[in-house]
Amino acid sequence: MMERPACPWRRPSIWVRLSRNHLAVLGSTIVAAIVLVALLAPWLPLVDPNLTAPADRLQPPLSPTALLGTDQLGRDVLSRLIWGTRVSLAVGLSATLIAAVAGSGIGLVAAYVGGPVDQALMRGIDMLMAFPYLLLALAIVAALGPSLMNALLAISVVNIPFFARAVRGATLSLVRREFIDAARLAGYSRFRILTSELLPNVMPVIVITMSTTVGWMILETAGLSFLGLGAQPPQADLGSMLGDGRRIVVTAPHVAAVPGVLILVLVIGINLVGDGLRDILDPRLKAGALSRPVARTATMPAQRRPGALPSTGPSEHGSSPPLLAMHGLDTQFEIGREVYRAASGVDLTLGRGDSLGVVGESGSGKSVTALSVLGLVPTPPGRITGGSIRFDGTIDLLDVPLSGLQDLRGGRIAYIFQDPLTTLNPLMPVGEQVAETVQRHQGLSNRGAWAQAVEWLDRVGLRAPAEKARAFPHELSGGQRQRVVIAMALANRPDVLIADEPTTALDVTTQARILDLVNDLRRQSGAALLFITHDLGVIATLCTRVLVMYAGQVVESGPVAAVFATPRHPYTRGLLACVPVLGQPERALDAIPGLPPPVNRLPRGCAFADRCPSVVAACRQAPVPLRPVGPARTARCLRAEDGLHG
Amino acid sequence: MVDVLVAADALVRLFGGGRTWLGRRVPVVRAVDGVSFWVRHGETLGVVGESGSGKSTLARMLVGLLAPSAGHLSVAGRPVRGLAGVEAVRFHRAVQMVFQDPVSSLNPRKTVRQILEGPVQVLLGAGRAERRDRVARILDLVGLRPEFLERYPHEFSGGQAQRIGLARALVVEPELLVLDEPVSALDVSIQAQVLTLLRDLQTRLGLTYVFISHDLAVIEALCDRVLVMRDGRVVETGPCRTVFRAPQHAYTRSLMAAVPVVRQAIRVCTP
Ligand SMILES: Nc1ncnc2c1ncn2[C@@H]1O[C@H](COP(=O)(O)OP(=O)(O)OP(=O)(O)O)[C@@H](O)[C@H]1O
Ligand code: SF4
Ligand SMILES: [Mg+2]
Repeated sequence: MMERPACPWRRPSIWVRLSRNHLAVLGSTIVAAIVLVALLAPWLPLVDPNLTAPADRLQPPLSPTALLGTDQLGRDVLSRLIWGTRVSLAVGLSATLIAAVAGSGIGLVAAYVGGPVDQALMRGIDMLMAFPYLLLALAIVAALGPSLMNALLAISVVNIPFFARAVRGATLSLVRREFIDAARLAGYSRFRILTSELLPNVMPVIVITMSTTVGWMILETAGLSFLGLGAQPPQADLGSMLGDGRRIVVTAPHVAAVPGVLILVLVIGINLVGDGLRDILDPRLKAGALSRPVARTATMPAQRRPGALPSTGPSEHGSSPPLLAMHGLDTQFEIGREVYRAASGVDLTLGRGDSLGVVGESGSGKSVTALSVLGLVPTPPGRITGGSIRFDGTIDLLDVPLSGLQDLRGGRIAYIFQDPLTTLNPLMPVGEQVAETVQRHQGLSNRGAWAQAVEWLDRVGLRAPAEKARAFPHELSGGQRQRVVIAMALANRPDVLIADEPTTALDVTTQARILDLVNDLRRQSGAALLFITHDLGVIATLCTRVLVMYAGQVVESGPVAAVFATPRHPYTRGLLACVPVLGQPERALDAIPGLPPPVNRLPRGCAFADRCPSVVAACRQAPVPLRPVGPARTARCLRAEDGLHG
Repeated sequence: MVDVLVAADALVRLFGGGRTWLGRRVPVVRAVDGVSFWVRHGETLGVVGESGSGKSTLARMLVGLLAPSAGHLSVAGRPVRGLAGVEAVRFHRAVQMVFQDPVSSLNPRKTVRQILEGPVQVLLGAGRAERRDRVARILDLVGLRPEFLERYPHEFSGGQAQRIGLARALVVEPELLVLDEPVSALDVSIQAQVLTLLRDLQTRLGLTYVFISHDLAVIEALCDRVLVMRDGRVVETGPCRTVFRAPQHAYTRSLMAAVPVVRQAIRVCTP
């Protein structure tokens, strides 16, 4: 999850972002120029577009009296073009507005009221969509009689479904949000909820749909006029001009070509603007999803990375090196000109059979640290810029080739994430998914892998495992899904198990069962456990060592019992004082005032200084180092020893 | 009993039932199944239970967002049933709710000022001056700075957003506040800030709370009495002290046993 920086970095306005999209700028320039000329038509020195002059018929372009020539009735093509563009634009825009208002209204009401109203409205829309849509427009005009107004109406009607569907979809995802409930509690009427709560939130969808359909609507109006069903002679619009020119295209190609080229340019221009707007307004594309994530976090090569291991070779630990030794890890996110230092200088060691808990507030860099181990931090915007992660005493995980990393993933190093749905494939029975992991790393036969999968599902306490193995993820409860993910993680007997808040989404009883399970399986298999949580109670139950993180740095580490009994860092002390304890209702909860600093604007000195009750001037002057403060303990505080007497 | 603010008698809420338009039968879920309780003026009733035990359904019935399928519910002596028009306005003036997800409960397209002034305008019919005045006072009460008023929800952290939700509920000066897991989405440090604020507001404004949580320690820290729910029914109820010190029902005991504890460690470090 992306944590909001406390000091918000404002997103540049729509116009600024639109101006960075060169194609959209080109499109807007084209459209603006055409619209401007069309608007100015009454004031331009143009001859009457409908004035016939049989003597001057079919003048070629660039003739002295007519810049773009004349048509078969001797009418000035330039004048007709400009006045005709005016008509086409007006009709296209009106049709868009009508379709947008009617379609959005239908979509909003259908989604908000729901039930039979929704069913009835959407059935109607489905019926509209069942016809090929130009045919439908033709049928409507045929029934009403050819005229520009009827063409406008027909084009509006056939476009209503696009708006209705898009808006209904967007609204459906909103009506379940709690702010709609809150509006009801505020006494708002249904109409006010629709207009003041829902409409502003679906507006981007409406604008996107408008900007992507208006070009088509102009084209469709032109099409109807071309067939003689829209603008009636002598009135010019782009389509009817094209229709007039068609018959003499061999003798006087300019009469058809001029409106044809303009239609093309106009529609392309509008669609460029529409695409640009969509890219900006569509939230799915907002987070930079346009640039596809890569298979591995961008990592600075060892030669340039501070703290990189000199080369791949045996470590200084001699006979029994730790399984995982992370030193000085720096992982940052580069968004625009801002650099978010999500993990800075993180040290962490995990021995065989260890269980290490990592705590800290949301956004303190726990997940980023864990994801950096196997290069799973999304790039862009993530980048590892410093440090080393030695695995099993020899290789630096930051420098192994991608294939090596992929063999480790789910093999010797396995992850369990907070939300099991992100790990599981919704379209595949869970048993197959476990079997697939087993097969990938152990190369068993299909049968063997399936048998192993069922056995693991049994071992993680799923009742009727053979049956459950055939279930799809959505058919299981949250707790059951998390068991499946644990089975997947353990099936290859990993050396290191990294669990990132695996129980946060579960209630206490289920959480307790899952924690027991993880603990038992870890003990049986001898895997080392890295357990991330913001619940100190969970750490106390499960872990032997603890690492406290704050604003991307380790601020304290040591054996759980010692750290919890005599915390040396004021932040750890504050965290412990915040926890309500069952059986001690009178305990005053000493809230830590304020918020962590945004990691793109870290202070020079101690990051905790603004919230620290013991802060002194020296704390803010220089970076505070992490230093030993007792047997197997470290803390990043100038006054770590003071607390002992205070 | 004149000081009873909320009285619920055999409340039931069913979901599903009937048939889809294809004629398939939709199974009935008894989300709340015969729940009775009362809440006195100025006290805090805690509701605990695992997920799916019907806590949120109960909360939504209490504030009139859901109609009970059966049973009787009254607040301040008035039955809550088919509220509309003036009745609904009067009810919502007295009963407000704080939601679980601080971010999803604020309209992303409205400024904090619009969010807070809306209920004052609609429920109290207050003019511009009074709206400004009330909003300024409530903001101060929940510890937010006045310059936040012109900002949008995405510019706030979870803890700040939850304070805005709290301010929105309190701005009409209700008697009863229903809080549905108001601190579950927050970090411990921020959670402590909000819990301290809730305690403080209760003493200053004489509020009555119904506080829903799956965290027993939070319930114990804040509530006078507790209702333990399982599968839509109440399995145990009583003063917090008694229930947590000597739980009668096996389910309550299992809930308590499941709580991971930092107790020993914390005893040592706090005076
Ligand atoms: N994909 C991303 N793009 C940009 N910034 C990110 C991204 N992921 C994380 N961050 C930033 O990195 C910092 C550390 O985030 P991280 O997810 O490691 O926190 P955490 O300690 O795991 O928090 P939580 O308890 O909420 O899971 C935060 O400031 C966050 O905003
Ligand atoms: S270094 Fe100073 S400001 Fe930082 S935690 Fe220690 S006493 Fe507080
Ligand atoms: Mg995380």
